[in-house]
Amino acid sequence: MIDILLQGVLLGGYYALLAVGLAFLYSIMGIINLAHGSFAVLAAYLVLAMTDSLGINVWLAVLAVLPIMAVIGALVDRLIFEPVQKGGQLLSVLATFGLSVVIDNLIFQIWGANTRTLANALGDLAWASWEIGGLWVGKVSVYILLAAVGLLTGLTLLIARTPLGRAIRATATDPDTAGLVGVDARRARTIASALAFVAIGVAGAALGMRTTFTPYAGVTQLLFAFQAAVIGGSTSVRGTLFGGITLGLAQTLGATIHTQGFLIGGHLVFFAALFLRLQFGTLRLPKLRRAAA
Amino acid sequence: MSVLEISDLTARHGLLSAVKGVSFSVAPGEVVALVGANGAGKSTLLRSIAGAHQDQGGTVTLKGEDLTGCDAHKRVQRGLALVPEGRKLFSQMNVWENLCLGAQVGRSGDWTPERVFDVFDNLNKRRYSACTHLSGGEQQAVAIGRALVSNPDVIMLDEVSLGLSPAIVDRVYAVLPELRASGTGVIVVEQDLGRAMSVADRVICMLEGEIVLQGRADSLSREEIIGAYFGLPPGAQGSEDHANPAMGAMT
Repeated sequence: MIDILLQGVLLGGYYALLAVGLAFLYSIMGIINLAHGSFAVLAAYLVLAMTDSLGINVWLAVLAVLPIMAVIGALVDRLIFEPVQKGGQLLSVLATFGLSVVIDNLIFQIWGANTRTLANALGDLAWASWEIGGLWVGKVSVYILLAAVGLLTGLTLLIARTPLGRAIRATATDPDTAGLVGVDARRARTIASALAFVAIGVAGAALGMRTTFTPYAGVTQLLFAFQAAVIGGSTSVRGTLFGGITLGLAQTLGATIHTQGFLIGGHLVFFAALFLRLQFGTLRLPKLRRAAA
Repeated sequence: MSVLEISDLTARHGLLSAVKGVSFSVAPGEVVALVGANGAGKSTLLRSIAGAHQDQGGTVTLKGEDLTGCDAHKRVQRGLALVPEGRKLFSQMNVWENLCLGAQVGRSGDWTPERVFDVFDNLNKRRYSACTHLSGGEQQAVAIGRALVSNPDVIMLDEVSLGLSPAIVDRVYAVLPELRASGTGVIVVEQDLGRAMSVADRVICMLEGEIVLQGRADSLSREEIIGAYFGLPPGAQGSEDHANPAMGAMT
């Protein structure tokens, strides 16, 4: 049982990492990014391209992909998020859905349909593990959990403690008033989008390291990210860790009950969380923006 | 020599002309009171000067620099600050964070968050309180402080006394002499005509988007301003005074 819980927590670390970009973008900009999973898969392919084609060390490749993802995030904000948001929430949902289709097919065109993984690039680390009290703990899974905790802590501190974080929060609350106190709301939005895409880049690399992926794996990743974000509170970066671990535990426990229980366990907890949040009013839909005092 | 020049400023709300070709200037250290009935265009004028109202024409010049077309945040960086009607504090931030946000503009000057706490000493013990937990007067003090810490050359105060008790308003207005002494131009929108005339060097009265009267506060009579305020023909305010309860409140 402890082994199941441990595996659930480690899987949850990945889900938290996957969800943080989605939750961050939603909480700051009110955007439900349906292309989230596709961008994570794109990041995995970019890392793969650097390791396979250029022979770069996998960790250096991850570091190189993050600024690329930041630039993609900034461009997506200026070219897609910003204009479509003027048309309301539905338009941004439709636009990001269309974007996911484009990205999925673009990946397919460039890299083909073969199932890929970054495990080869990781070498021995891909299957290395620690034995703790008779339990075997995969090193990559632990690193991913630590990355999730680190990323979530970093983002939380950045938002809570830094001038940039204050500017981003002010923009999320009321962009017009933010402008009146000297905040460049447009710049703050773009930086927030870039940060969210850096988080997506880390999640994409984690995806490639812990499992296999195909050009059309984005939908599944989006589903898990969405579930973790909703369970965790959908607007809370810190809550995302809780949401991811809860989802991971539900799936792992579901799989032990029934062979088909992996997904069903996650779905049941997701729907329960959704029901409770809607029932008790803690889920803010359709957007986060809190009224100014 | 004026610090702020407004020339032929126009602003629209859709098909409605809210501000129609308004021109005036503010000298360093001058306090200008902007009065007018609800819907006269005062708040739209201030928002247009601050760059927060998009649909506008005319020019805004601050210390000789043309700010026309500049976004609101750039105008703040140049030295033009607005305390908006309704305070518009960031409710999820505490007092200290709201003030730090205003100070992030990075303009040098005497005003710092700590100085705001010195001037509005009741805020000092509530510096880490969420703004939603503050009284109306405290929220107004934070809103003014947030504008002051950007060390503006001109500060615009929109309806600062709205909903506040006279004692609180006195504390808010106590900052004005200090601003005047430091050479900061002040534009204050005020519904309390008596207070506006007592603090201002100059009074500008707006009616239906236009300036209908302006002059030095000590050269304008209360009757002249009330007449312009309601758009009454000269000499008619005496007879209207009793017929219009709102005018009674004004006096």
